[in-house]
Amino acid sequence: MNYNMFDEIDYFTNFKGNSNMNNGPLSLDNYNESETSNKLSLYTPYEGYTRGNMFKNLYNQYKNYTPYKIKVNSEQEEVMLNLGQISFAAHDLSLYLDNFPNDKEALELFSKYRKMANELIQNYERRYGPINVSSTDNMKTPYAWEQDKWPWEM
Amino acid sequence: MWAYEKRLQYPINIKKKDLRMAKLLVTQYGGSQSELAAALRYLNQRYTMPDNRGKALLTDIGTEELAHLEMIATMIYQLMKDATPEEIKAAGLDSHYAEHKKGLYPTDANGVPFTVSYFSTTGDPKADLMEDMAAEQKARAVYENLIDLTDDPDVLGPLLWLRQREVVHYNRFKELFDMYLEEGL
Repeated sequence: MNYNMFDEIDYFTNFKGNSNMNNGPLSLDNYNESETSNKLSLYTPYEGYTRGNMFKNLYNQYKNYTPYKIKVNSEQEEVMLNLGQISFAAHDLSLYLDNFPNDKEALELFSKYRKMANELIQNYERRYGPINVSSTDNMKTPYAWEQDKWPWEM
Repeated sequence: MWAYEKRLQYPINIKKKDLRMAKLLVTQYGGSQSELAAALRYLNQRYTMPDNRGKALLTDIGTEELAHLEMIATMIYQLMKDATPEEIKAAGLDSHYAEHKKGLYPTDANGVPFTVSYFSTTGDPKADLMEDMAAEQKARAVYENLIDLTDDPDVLGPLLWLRQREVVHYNRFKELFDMYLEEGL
């Protein structure tokens, strides 16, 4: 069992070729750059998502466990992974902003990720069905909200 | 108010049935350091925070804990899903089965039901935040205990992730605590 080999390049080389949307609106090519500034040193959204932590200075490893690679088995799971990581990046920044509401740099990053996450959620909903009950993609028969799997189902 | 997002905060796909681990994981569903206790603790304490930083942080972390509660429930559900009554009996989960079948129920790993006495609310922001810091540390410790007890990568991934969230939340609570202390709030 060796999960130490994982890095972001691994993720992109493994999964990019399997999808027909590499250059489409769901591509993350322009977003997976790590953000470094004077105050904030952040992981890329994918690195942060696998760690459960966007902030390099807060990362705390348990024993010799390194972050687990997130496997995707379908295009739907890949789209979900993309929105999960960007949404997570925005969320972790939002907790920081709660404490430091005047940090413009953090706010800019949060806005960038939040905007991207919202687009990814809408794209997912159009393709696979609603994530939010408020989605306009719910307005069809049979009621789209209850279709597809629920999150605890595999 | 709250709105549900029909997705997990972090993906969970457990392929291997493991009743022993299901029995242990339930402590993070309804034990003293559970995600349920965390969510209720922060969402209760937020009303008397002295400024908007505290109200926002406790609302947002309390809300995230509900997403973690769903992750733990998902893990338990998937670990138990394909078990036969015989396997459930052999794993010592027959008392759970008698009352709940394969339903989820918030107890600790010893079957003790959840109680709100697992957390307190004093209305004093520094006292409450100090409890929150301790709660995150204790939850981190329980996640480490659970990580020590499995070698299934499908279980370890989410457990390591949830443990890391305790680390982040602890640091955010500590930042706010330190600012309140300095500012005399």
